[in-house]
Amino acid sequence: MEATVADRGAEPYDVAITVANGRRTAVQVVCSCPMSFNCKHVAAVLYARGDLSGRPRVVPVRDPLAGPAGAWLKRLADAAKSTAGGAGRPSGCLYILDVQDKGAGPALRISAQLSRPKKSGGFGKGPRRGARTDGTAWWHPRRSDRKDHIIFQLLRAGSPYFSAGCRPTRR
Amino acid sequence: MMDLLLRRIVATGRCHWGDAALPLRQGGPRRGGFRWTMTSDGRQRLAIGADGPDVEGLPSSAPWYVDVRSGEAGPLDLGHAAAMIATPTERAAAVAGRGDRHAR
Repeated sequence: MEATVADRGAEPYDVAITVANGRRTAVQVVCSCPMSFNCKHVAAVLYARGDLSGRPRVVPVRDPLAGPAGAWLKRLADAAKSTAGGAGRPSGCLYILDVQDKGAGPALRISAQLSRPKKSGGFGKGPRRGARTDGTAWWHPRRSDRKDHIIFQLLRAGSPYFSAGCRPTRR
Repeated sequence: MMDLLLRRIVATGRCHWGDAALPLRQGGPRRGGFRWTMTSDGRQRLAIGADGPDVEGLPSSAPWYVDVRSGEAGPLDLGHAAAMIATPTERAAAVAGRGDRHAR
């Protein structure tokens, strides 16, 4: 049995299936896709075997995300956007620089806080909590991106209160 | 370390100086120098200062400035090697950390 199976690519794949009936049924399959055998193209041909009538035909492979699963994923993505901020922009870490003097002289303090974008532009400032270079608190935002993760690693490495292998201080 | 940290933070476009509404943006290097400042208990302390009005030097191991008026932040050129600048500020930070631990 031979068939041509359409996939997402421009060129369809050729599938050849040989079924030998003896004491045991032996099935040999060959496909021109990178998998070569036991692939979804072979499965598509076997599922459609009843309609082949001995003639080669194109069997479309159904996109698994085209049905209810895809609709559910889209609703999930829309819900995530609506909770990220009114303007549809993702939340982000806001970094505040200021100078603090604890008696030993002024020192630069870097505070990080989770913020949400304002409709008028920019990010809104909430209560200050988060990682600080003076070690007064430690809080790692879950909704931070890759850049923020690197910055937090540098914050931890640069603070005199944190060292490698040391758990962050909580107050 | 601090220079790299400040560069990355400013590059996010989400870095603010205090209560300023607009985020800081990366500025070019500017001239600065050491200045003696008086603390509240009357002692003199060596601090990093920047030239120009509304430009503040950041008291950190990396000499940086913040131009409050233009919203720029960048490195300060103090005319000294970075290691010479970092040593007194880092030592001061270490002393401050030790004092805090004793106070707990």
